[in-house]
Amino acid sequence: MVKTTGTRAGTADSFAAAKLDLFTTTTIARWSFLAESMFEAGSDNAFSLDVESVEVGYLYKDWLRIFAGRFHTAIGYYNDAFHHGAFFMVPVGRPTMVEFEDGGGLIPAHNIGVHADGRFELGDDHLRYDVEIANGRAADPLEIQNNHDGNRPKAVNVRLRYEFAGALEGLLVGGNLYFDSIPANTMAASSETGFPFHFGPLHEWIVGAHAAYFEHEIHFVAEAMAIQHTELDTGVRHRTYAAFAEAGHTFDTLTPYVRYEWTRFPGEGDPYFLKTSVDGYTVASAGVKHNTTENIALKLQAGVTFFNRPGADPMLTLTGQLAFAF
Amino acid sequence: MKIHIAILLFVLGLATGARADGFVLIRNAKAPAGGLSKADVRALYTGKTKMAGGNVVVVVVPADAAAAFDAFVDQVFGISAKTLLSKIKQEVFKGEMAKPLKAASDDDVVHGVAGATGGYGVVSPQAAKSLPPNVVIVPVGG
Repeated sequence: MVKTTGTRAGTADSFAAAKLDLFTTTTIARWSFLAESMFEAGSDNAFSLDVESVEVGYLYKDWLRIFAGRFHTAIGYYNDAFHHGAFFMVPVGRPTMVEFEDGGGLIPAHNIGVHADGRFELGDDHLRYDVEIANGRAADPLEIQNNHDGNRPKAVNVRLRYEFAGALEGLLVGGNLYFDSIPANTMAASSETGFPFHFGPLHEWIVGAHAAYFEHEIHFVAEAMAIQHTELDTGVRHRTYAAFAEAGHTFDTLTPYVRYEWTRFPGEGDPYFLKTSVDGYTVASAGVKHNTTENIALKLQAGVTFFNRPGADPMLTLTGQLAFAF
Repeated sequence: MKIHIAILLFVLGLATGARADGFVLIRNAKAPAGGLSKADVRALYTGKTKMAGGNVVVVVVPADAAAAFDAFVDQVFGISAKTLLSKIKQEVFKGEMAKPLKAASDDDVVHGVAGATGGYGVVSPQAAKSLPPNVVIVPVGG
């Protein structure tokens, strides 16, 4: 990956070692087990092991399936459609707004709790639902509450999707509503970023909409969301808005694509994300994915990020990726 | 000469018929009886339909290239077998679909379908002529 702001001082280029994602799944009658463990090098240049998902499920009918464990939150489209599978993604990485907790994302990408989903017929079309009750966010945005919840209220998430049939088969449109109660943070600093944290208890509402289409060699995903953090002590609300759209078309083994991302933080700042309006950004990317074999994909992507911070130079990024899945 | 032309037309007719069918969808006898629309079949092979007659759907796919499976994917999905297998891999990765059974031959497909109560598979018309009693043919409609 090469990153540059056009000046020698602002230029960085690196090779990054592969993320090794070990995926296990098995189905025994109506029971299923799924686990995903990731070996990944962090900003400290050391590999670490993360258990990304571990869940046990029971399939009752097509309209009811229940999972318990740690899962990817059913929020928007990208988060649980691609997990950590770079091979399946068309671009080289996830849009920033749906990045993981430690990658600058805005969503609670992982959650620990109970998940139910199902699918109903509506004529030839279908309605898909996902409902989750989980630990939700910790006071530290980088922490995932794997073992216990820092407060009693649980996060509640509902996602509904309409799946079209007939001429529009492959098109789905959906929406999300997510609520969580975030405990007060009186820590001197975040566990990883070192940023000072001082906020009282918050209520978090996430409202989102998404659409996706994957037929006739077309790849299209679009998501938009508004995230509101309400300070319970003062009643002050802080709203962050973000959206992205990506589109591509497959020609034999080649899929050229484009992606556009947009994120705006509130002018007065968000106490949880620790961002203000000058931290907003816009990203435009274009690239090509080559499905080299059934198990290997090569990608090349160029992007430019425009920062809202006054005087900040645009950052150009060129990324090559080799992704594999066995 | 007329006989030669008749034979030629007969052979061409057979070839056209083979191209038009080219595959036979089979199921475990415990899976629901009756035909399926192409949309129903697509739902089975992409994890949207997870149960068939009270049994978890398990599809049997070829480990290597298979002409019958290629014809099936082309006619039912309108994409390449490679693309469908990649989609299946992603649905398994998402937890939306039971991991498919891999089969090296038509006999393996039949064996896999016979052993899974919600099993579905695709074999050549030739192989479909001699199926065990617990495996039946599924008519595929439009």
